[in-house]
Amino acid sequence: MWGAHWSMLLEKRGVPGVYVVDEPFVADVQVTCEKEGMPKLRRVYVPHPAGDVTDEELPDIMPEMVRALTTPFTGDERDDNLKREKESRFLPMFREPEDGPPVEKTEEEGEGREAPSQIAITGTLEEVQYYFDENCWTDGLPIVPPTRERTDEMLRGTSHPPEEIVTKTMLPEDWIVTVEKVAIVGVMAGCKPSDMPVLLGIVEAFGQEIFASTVRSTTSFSFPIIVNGPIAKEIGMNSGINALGSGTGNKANATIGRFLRLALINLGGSKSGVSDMSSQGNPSKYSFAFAENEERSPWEPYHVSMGYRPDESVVTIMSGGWSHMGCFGNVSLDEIAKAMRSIELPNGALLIMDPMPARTLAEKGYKKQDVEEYIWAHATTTAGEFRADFFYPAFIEPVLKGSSMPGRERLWPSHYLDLGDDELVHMFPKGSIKVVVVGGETNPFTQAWRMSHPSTVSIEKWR
Amino acid sequence: MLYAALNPRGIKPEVKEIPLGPRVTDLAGKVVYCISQTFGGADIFLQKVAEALPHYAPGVRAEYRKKPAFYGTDDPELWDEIATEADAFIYGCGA
Repeated sequence: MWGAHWSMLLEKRGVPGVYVVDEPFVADVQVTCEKEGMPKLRRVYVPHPAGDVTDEELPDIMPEMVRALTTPFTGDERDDNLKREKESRFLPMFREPEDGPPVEKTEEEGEGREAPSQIAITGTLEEVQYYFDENCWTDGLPIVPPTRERTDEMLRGTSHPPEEIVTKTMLPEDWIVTVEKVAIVGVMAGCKPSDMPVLLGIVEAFGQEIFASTVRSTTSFSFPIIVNGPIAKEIGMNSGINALGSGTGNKANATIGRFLRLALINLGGSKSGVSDMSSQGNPSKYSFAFAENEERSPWEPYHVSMGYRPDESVVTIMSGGWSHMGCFGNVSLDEIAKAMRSIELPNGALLIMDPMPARTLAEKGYKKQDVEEYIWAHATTTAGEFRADFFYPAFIEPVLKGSSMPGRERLWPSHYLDLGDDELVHMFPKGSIKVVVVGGETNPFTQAWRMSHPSTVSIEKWR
Repeated sequence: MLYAALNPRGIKPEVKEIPLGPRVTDLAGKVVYCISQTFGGADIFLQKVAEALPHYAPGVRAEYRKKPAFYGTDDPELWDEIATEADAFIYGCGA
């Protein structure tokens, strides 16, 4: 919740202020304020979207702003904010109980280590499920109860001690995560002990600033997990038929993908309607993990293109999932590039290509990088249409004017600002189109996903 | 059969509460920056607020500013300007 963050920054510098909050973000703001140590940040709530507030509504809003700037503090302002949150019609579907879920003991046992996890509830399968659901600890599906025995078994999948800290910045709320907590959530998701290095790599890869906005976003992001290297086969990940789908043969893909969502909820504090503000959501938020079909691909695998050794096991997470097109049933790169012109906020794309069209292209002399370059070069639009993108004012124009987004370099060139409306521009930033080869060769299909911000880590150290 | 399920929650880091700065007692003669972070029609709304503010706080001078960078990106020059020039601020809206 960036607006609250910048408002608190100004307050810390001694400037009194008020943060104007759109109604759907009441709870989101409170969580952010508490996380950053300023739960009493003064706020005024307005209908959403604020741009539609009429002159007739201002007399109800403006005096509140003046009061917020000039009225001395009272002791119960945090309570007022919480009361407001409870009265909001934008409530999450489930609420934590009044006394909150059990609080984990956080006493540190030493540098980089935390105390073992405590038992949250003892009960039947149904009682455990009910308790976890009521506390908003699930993704809405049944979980495997994370008992001590199952957790210890899961911990056998890594050489790292359970109390070791994996990250101190698990998003969205920058929580501390231990190896044991990863194992607990892995059990809940249905993962196997042998999956542990991948799960630990996922948590490490996700603790990056580049995901800080997308994980809370109104834009329904999901985060595909791509696994490369020998571990994919070792743990039974599917890179062939239905690799992005369901089925018994997809257990590793399904449970590892699910792990990330459960990790965001439990290890990072994500809660729908509070810190996950996806206006519509998308089904790939449940689970979205697959391995690259390195054996059947004519090209070097993704991780090798990123500078890793072929025999190194690597996990990559991207941001996207809210715009998807295909399957393209041919290998006309022109047609794919043309279709991709409809992608909004085009700051990157992932082409998931079956080995069949990949081989056809390779036989024509295309390297993978040639395909990526070709799509980039031919996904063009007019400068006028580019500037008409819904996301242009907030996300693209500041970049063109020289501002970088967190964790990223400049995306588009600044001369796009000065072009005439009819002049052509490349929609995607150079180097932002990526290709991975996945599929079972039942038809020469390619899917295009709007994806950006790859975060790639080696998982060898987590074995 | 009973299951003793472990607490799966990540660990919240300890946070010390930071007090807000003192309020101004009166806006007359003061400068209030109205800052838009550009999302969800914030530009329209904050400009409207800047125009209307003197009616509700006579004698105030309202300065409208649009946050130059993406809303998640630091704008140190703007923060410095506000810390130097403003007596108070109104910031909004959206994410």
